[in-house]
Amino acid sequence: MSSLAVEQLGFQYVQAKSDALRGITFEVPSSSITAIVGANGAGKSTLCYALAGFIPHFFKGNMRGAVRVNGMDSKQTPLAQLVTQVGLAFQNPFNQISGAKLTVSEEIAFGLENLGVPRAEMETRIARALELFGLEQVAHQSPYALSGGQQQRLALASIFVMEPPVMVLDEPTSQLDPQGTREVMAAIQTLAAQGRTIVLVEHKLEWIAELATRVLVLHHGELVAQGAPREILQCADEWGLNETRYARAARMARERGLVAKDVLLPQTLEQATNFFRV
Amino acid sequence: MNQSFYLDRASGWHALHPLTKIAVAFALSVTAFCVRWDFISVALFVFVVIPFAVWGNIWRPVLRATFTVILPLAVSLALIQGFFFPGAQDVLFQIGPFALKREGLEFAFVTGTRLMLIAGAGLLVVYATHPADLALALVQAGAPYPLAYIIVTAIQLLPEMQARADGILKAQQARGLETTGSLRVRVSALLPLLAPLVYGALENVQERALALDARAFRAPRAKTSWRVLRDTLAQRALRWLLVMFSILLIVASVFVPLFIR
Repeated sequence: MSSLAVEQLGFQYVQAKSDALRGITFEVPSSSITAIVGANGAGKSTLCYALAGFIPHFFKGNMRGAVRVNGMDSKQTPLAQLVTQVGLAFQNPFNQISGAKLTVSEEIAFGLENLGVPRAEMETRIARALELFGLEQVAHQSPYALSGGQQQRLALASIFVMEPPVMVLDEPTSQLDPQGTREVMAAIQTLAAQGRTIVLVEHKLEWIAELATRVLVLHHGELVAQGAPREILQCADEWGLNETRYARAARMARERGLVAKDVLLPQTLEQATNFFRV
Repeated sequence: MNQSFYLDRASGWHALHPLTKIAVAFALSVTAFCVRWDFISVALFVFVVIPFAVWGNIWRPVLRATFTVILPLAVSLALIQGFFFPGAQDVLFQIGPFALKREGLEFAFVTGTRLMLIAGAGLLVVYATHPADLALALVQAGAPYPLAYIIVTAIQLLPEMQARADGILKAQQARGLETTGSLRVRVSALLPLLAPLVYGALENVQERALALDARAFRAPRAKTSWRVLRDTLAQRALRWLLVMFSILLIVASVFVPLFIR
């Protein structure tokens, strides 16, 4: 069953001369990690806003086609209702801190307060979120005192706690160091293991290859390819993406005639190990 | 990095309901304006603000912040009013064409000490009130939720902006910007410091607004609260008394040539 269905989606921002998105159609199965990749300006963030209902409810413009979240049409459903179905996390963890709370626990509670969740239930949900995202040790610290990785995990926990079945993550590791990236990716794996449907926009293709069940490629606002990560990432450079180090090494080996030409380039460490063993 | 004015202490002053603390600060400020005695603000500061600050174990930051804000203001007030107070006659001394006059200095003293009292009373509230409690108290008192949020984040924003300004200052100094020395040097350093600060703040506005909506900020339903506010009958009575006292004082000061002068 699909959690998200996008049908012929197009969007043009007010005062923009061209479409940010054109004729996009795809479905996201439940409990999967679907990655969206593309060069800068490909329309990835715009697509995230559309999936989460911020287009057309927050950003005004000319929207065509439809986005359905668990059967609800995003155009017809108020944003306040959509956010309980689709959670959206952004690139900059700092900007996702509400600014009105002094501790990590309180920050996680912010969305629940807005949804009118009773306090007793809040306690249970917050405790679960703290544990799941490894934030128990910093529960009483200021959100501003956390590292970048911890802040992004806090942002994910703050969305997770609202229990949306779908979570859209727009480059959640773009401002993080390798350690922070590892922390956030582990949290994303945990979310998927919990049965959440994840849509992940990410430039770090090695992580996409590792985590995603499916990859969509956006190019100049159009969906140009979709499929399994290993197949899709073969042509990463065609869409202006940096191929993984494993693919690069394998490509060089292939160019020097060290390996067969008809074998798919590896995208993960495990695939690379098998590739070079052959 | 402390991103809030709030100082967590286990004190009786901290434990009071936020509206009680606000009512105290309000009554103090009203008294300073309505009672016509030149030393009323100093008296209230010494005999009310400082004891309360000691009770809350926040006397050091309250005094430091009050005087950091007020001293430069007081000096400029004294100079401007002392030399240019309209209608002043009593010349204390003359520097060239400029005469320092007693009436101007008195006016500067009264104004400066009033500002000192208001700043001190305000800091008493801000340093001892958890921002979430303040927002909750305002909402429970009937303030719209977005307004309460704006008030709280505005208070929170100041230390955040200060931290950002410090970061920008260090970055600009690392690139050779001269920020110390003559007034001219300091003024010319302002633009490279202010421009990234203001631009950065504006740049983040959209993403912050999105982040709020992503967390159901505008959901049209009754909000709940993670924090629990304690209130007592005695505090409610005290708040009413302070408000009534303030209103009476305002009315009296309009109609009666009031008190000691």
